[in-house]
Amino acid sequence: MNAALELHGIVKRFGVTRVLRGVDLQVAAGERHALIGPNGAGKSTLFDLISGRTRPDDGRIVASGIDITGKPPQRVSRSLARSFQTTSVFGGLSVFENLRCAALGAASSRLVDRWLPSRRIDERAHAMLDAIGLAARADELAARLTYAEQRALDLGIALATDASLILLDEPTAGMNRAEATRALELIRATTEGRTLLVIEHDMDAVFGLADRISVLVQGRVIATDTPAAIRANRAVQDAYLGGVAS
Amino acid sequence: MLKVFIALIVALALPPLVVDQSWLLAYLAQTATLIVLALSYNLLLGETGLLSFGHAVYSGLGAFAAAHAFARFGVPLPLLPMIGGCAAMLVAVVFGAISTQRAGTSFAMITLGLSELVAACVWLVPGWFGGEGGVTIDRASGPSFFAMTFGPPREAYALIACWCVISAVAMFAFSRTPMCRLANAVRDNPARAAAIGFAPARVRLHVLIVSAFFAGIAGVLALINVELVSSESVGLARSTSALVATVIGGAGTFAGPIVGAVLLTFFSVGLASVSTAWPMYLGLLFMWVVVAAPEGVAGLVRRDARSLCIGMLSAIAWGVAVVVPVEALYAGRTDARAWFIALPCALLGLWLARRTRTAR
Repeated sequence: MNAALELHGIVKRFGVTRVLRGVDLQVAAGERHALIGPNGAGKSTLFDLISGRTRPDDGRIVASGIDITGKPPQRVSRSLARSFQTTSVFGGLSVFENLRCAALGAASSRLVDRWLPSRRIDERAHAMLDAIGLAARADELAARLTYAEQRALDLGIALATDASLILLDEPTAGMNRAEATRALELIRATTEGRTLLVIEHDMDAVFGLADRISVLVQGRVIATDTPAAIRANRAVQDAYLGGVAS
Repeated sequence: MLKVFIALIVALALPPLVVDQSWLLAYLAQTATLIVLALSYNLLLGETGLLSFGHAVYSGLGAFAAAHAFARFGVPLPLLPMIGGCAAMLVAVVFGAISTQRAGTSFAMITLGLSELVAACVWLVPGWFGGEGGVTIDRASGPSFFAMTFGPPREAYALIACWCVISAVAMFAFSRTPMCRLANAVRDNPARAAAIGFAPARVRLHVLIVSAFFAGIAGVLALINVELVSSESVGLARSTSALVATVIGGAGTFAGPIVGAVLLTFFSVGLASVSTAWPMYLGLLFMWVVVAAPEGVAGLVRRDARSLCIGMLSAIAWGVAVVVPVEALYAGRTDARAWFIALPCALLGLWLARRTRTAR
C-alpha cells in the first residue's frame, strides 16, 4: 500500500494517564479517512502528535515516507496541513491576507516572496478564496467573519499550504445541520486529489464522507474498515455507536 | 498615507526656514529622533505584539558603535546612521536569539533583564563606554560632505531630518511586505502560524532585527544632535519613552507613533520649560489613553464627529480641573480658589464623559 501517513505504536502519557496506548494507523494516499471515537479517546491528542505540537513518548510517525516523529509544527507543515478543533484564524488580518500567509508557507513559495509582493502567491490566495466561497469577504478582518465563515477560512488556510495530507479536527463542530452539510460539500470539493484524515462526531457526515473509518477507543484503534463494515462491527457498536447502527 | 509623509516633511522643513533659532532646531531634531525610535518600536509592539522594555539597548549600542567608528575610522557623518543601524542589528541577532523564543510576559521580562544587563555593562567597561561622562564626538571633525561640515546646527539638523524621513518611508515600505503580514499572523495566533510553516520565534527574530536596525539609526541621530552618547542612551528611561510615545500615539496605525513622538517631545521639552509638573500631566495623558482611547490619539480620528467633539470638551474640562490645582500646589499656594475652579470643571468633564459613553 502506498501510505500517505503511517503511525506505528504511538504512545502518549500525560503524567500517569496513558492517553494513547500503542496506536497503529495507515492512511493510503488519496483516500478520505475518518477517525471516530468517544470523548476522551485521544483523537485530538493524536492530531497534535502528528502535526508536531507535542511529542509522542513512543512510536514512529511517517508522512509520505519521511519520518516526522517529534519534529516541530513548522518542519512538518510541508507534508501535512491541519485545521484546529477551535477555530484558528489570524483575526487581525483580512481574509485575503490569511490565505496569502498560508500560501507563503507552501513548499513552492520562494524566500523572496516574503519580502516582495508576488503575483503567483496572490493568484494562489485568490483561487483559494474562490474555492471556499469567501471572495466577497476578501477584505474583511477575519475576526469579523461569522462562525461558519471562519471555519471555511480555517479550512482554506490548511488547503492553501498545498500540503498533500490534510488533517481536519471536527470541521462541522458547532454548526447547524444546513451549515454542516455545506461545510462537508466544501471539504469534499476542495480536498479532491489530496489525502484527508478527519476527526468527526457527526456520524452521518462520517459515513457519507469517508472511504475508510478507524475507531479509536481508550487510546487504541479497535477497528479500521469501510463505513458499511464499521456499521456492522459488533465491537464498535458495543464500544461506541450504541443504538445508532440498529 | 502620502498625506502623512508630506505633513512630516513640511513639519520638519518649514519651521527652520521661517525661524532661525537654535532651540527650535534642537527641539525638532529631538522630535525627529523620537519619531524614528517610536516607529521602530511599533514594528515590535503593533505589528508583532511584542512588549519590549529594552528597545534603548539597540539605539544606545548602535550609537556607541557609531561614535567609535566616527572617532577612530573617520566614517563620514552622513553615513554614520548606517553604521549604528548595522551594529544594532548584530546586537539584535545575539539578544534576539534569547528573547524571541517567547512572546507575551516572558518576552517583556527577558528584554527588561537584557536592558539592565547592558546598563550595568556600560558602567563596568568605562574604556569603551566612557563611564559617567559617556563618549563624545565633535561632529565637525569628520570629512566634509558637499561643502558641509555639519558643525553648524542647521546642517546637522538637515541631516537628521533627512534620515528621519528616509527611515519613516523605509519602515512604511516594510510594513507593507508579506513578511510584516507574517509578523501579524504570529501576533494573532502563533500556533496557527507554526502549523502553516512559520516558526514564531524565527519570525519574531526577523522583525526584531529590522526594528533594531532603525532603532540604531535613531540612536545615531540623537548622537549627531547632542554629540554625546552615555549610559542614559541605553537606560530604561529611554526604552520607556519609546513605549510611551507609541502607546499615546496608537500602536494600531502607522502614523500613531509619529503623533505620539510629537506629543511626547512637546511634553518633555516644550511643557517642561513652562511647568515643573510636566511628568504628572504626561502620566495622566498616558493613563487616559490606556483607559479611554486604547487605539491612541491617532486612532481618535476614526471616531464620529459628535463623540469626538464631546470628548474634546470633556478633555478640556478635565485638563483645567487638573492643571489649576496642580499648578497651585506646585507654587505652594493652598488657598481654596483653585478648588472652586477645579471641582466644577471636573463635574462638567464627568458629565460630558458619560454622554460620550451613552452616545457610543
